Amino acid sequence: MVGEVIENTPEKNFQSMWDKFDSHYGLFLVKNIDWNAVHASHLPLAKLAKTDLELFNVLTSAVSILNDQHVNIITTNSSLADYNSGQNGHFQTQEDFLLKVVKDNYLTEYHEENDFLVYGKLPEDIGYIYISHYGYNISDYKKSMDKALIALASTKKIIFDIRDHTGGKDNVSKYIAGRFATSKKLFMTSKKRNGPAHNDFEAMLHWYVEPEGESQYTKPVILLTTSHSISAAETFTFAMRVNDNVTHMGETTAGAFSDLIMYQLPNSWICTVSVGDYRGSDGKSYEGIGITPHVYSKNLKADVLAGVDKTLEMAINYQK
Amino acid sequence: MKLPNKNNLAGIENIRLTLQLKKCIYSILFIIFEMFALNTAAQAQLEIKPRSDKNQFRVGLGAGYFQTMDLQVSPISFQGVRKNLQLEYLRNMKKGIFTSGLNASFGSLTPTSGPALKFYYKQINSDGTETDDSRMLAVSQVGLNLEIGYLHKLHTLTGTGSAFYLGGSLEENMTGAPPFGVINYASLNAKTRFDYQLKNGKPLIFQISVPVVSVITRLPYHGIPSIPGKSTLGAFFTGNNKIETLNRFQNLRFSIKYPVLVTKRMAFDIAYEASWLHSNKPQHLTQAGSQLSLGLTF
Repeated sequence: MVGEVIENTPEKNFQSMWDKFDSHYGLFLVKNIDWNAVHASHLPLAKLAKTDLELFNVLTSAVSILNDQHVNIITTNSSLADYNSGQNGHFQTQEDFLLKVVKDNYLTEYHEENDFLVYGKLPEDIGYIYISHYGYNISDYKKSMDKALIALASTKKIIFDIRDHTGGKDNVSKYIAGRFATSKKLFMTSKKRNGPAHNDFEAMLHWYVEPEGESQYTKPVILLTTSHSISAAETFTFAMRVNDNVTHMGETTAGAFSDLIMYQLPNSWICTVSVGDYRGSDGKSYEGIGITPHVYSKNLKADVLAGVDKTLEMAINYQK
Repeated sequence: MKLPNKNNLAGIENIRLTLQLKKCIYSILFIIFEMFALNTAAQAQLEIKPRSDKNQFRVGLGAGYFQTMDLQVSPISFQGVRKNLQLEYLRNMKKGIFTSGLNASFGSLTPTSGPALKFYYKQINSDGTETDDSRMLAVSQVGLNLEIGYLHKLHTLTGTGSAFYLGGSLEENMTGAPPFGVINYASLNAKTRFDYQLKNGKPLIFQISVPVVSVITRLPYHGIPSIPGKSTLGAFFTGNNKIETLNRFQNLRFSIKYPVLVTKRMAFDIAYEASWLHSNKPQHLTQAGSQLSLGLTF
């Protein structure tokens, strides 16, 4: 009644996925990928596939070449589960950060504003803000940031923690970074696919960080990241780093900046596709690379389990 | 149930069952027809006429089956039961009818074929063990429609009370099925209405509506609108608005309404509506629906 149903065969599923990436993936040129070669090498394998597992192996092998943490294949088969291209398998459990450790062993004041934002005070008159994602509407963040920055206005510096930040909206990144800005600066450009050719992109957008909100915190800020800080956490890192008062500390970020869309295959599985080409203010793409911090520090699992956060301690003691 | 033509005995048994079933259906139809005839005759005796007040308000509740397919997000069609609330205002004028209406709809969607939308995830711990997780993907369609129009009475069939109207309407509609696609359209519609006066004095109202020209807003080619300093909704309506005519946007709606019970102060009606919508840019989106609603006019 509403359209032609595509046959659910391994070949059609592979072709459907390949077509979607061919027409929408934004990083073929950045990553120098020969997607036609992937088609030539994998279509014969897809035709031979007989089981879910065999199809899964063909699809995951095809997208593994993209090395992109925003590219996933998520199945309705419990034994196969999902696949992430950047991880070349399942995601790794994060073991180098636990908010509970910060809360129980370091914070002298603790306010859980909502399910995504926590703020409080550390010893030596240092403020602390933790945000887990930027997925909600910007108005939610405006209210929370107002409260946090009013409470922490008198502190001598703030540690801004996005070590397990899962991403969200770039406009939230731009707004929150603006709460620490003194002037307007370019922090990122983005362009997204708008046609079937690999170089078909809409006009480039320029993203600026500029003073936002009623007041800005312009004293020193230390931004903490890990390799689990991904997507909008990374565009936020771009934005924060152009502020002169910000020092970036921790681990290199995940290296997956683009917006992504989901697409369903004829067998109901879902693939996610990065549709954009996002660059830093220096014009370089950090896709698959991540943003290297000014000061490197990585927590060990054993320390975290023992209630110790060495990266946070380094941030507390850090003198620029 | 046995399959026909599997063997002769089964075939004969099937023919017998089919004849019995047909007989049963005919009996039910005959009873319904008799009830309807008795009802209309009784009402005709009471000389109850349909309401023809200058200002009329209608509140309606409807439910119906619908299907949708949006190739921007999936080659699979989805189906569901859509419930809706209708609020209407009609002003009967000397030469026509002014109409306005607000319609809000909601329905959850499931795939018409294939497995349920339960997706599985795994995380690898440093000791090599795995943590399993799963999530159901819930897809719901929400719609809001606002329409104002005028229907001009062109012809009244002498002695029958039946009338033919022609006119147009301006319509604004937004329908979305997060996390799947969204469509907004603002249309100038051509509309026609035919009121057929039954022997019981009540009208059977037929309406057909087709958009002549529309401003269509759908997700951009890449599927995810985002512009610095603009909300998601603001970005959706920036640069994605296209003026389309019938060749690229079709939205055909047909309805038939019958007032079941009429009193001096109010009328209860039952209405059936069928709709078919199709937009082909950036990729094909099709929606088809069929619904019944009950309304109270006062």
